[in-house]
Amino acid sequence: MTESPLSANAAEGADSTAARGSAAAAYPGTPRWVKLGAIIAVVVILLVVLIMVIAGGEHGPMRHIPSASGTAPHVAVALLASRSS
Amino acid sequence: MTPGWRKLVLSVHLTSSLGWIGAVIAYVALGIAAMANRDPATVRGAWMAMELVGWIVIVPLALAALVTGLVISLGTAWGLFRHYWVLISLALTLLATLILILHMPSVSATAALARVADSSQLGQLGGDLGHAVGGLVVLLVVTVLNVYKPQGLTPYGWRKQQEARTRTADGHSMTREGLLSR
Repeated sequence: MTESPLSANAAEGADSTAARGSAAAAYPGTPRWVKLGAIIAVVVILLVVLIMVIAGGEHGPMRHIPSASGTAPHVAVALLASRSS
Repeated sequence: MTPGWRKLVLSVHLTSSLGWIGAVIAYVALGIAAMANRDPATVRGAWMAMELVGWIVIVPLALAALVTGLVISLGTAWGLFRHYWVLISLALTLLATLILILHMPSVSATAALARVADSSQLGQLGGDLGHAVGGLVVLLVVTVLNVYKPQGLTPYGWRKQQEARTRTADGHSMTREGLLSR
């Protein structure tokens, strides 16, 4: 953010110099890099959701820990004991 | 915003933003150590360090980067909603900060578990690399956006630019008419 936005605006408006005189210049539309980024973001989000669904819908480091009703209740008991102390 | 204040806030913003990235890289290194190492003391130490780095370094830096970014955007002509790169940077920073704050209690719980777990349980803890690497990618994207500042005005920014040009054009024509009438 060190450059002046005025220079960016000037460069942006360079191709619409002819239309500068008219107040009703049309919006040039969403830039291509924004559209491409949006597509990539959607693909990444879908992949993450897919991986989460395949992995059982849970994520985070605690997903590796069996629940208190699962195979390792002593782990949960130990965790509770450490929290209460 | 005066130039002095702008430079001060910008310095804090750059320091906190890049510091955030550096801290996340350190967190990833600790996560790799926790996941790849079989020595219980190392795994315990790594998780305790991850909790400390997360709460004491990463969270404050994230909040500082977010707040200073907002101040710079609103306090300069860049604005917050005028340029796509500013808007996307804000959205990604906000998302990363939100996920970080929501995720840290889980890291604390895992670190608490690591303190009392035996060797076999420690081996199941993993290294929390998914969140850390994902966050790192998001932060690098924000950095690239801030350095390159790709062109592109939002519809709101475009409207504001047109209004400013119209005002400037009106001002020029009024000045010219004033000079001609003398």
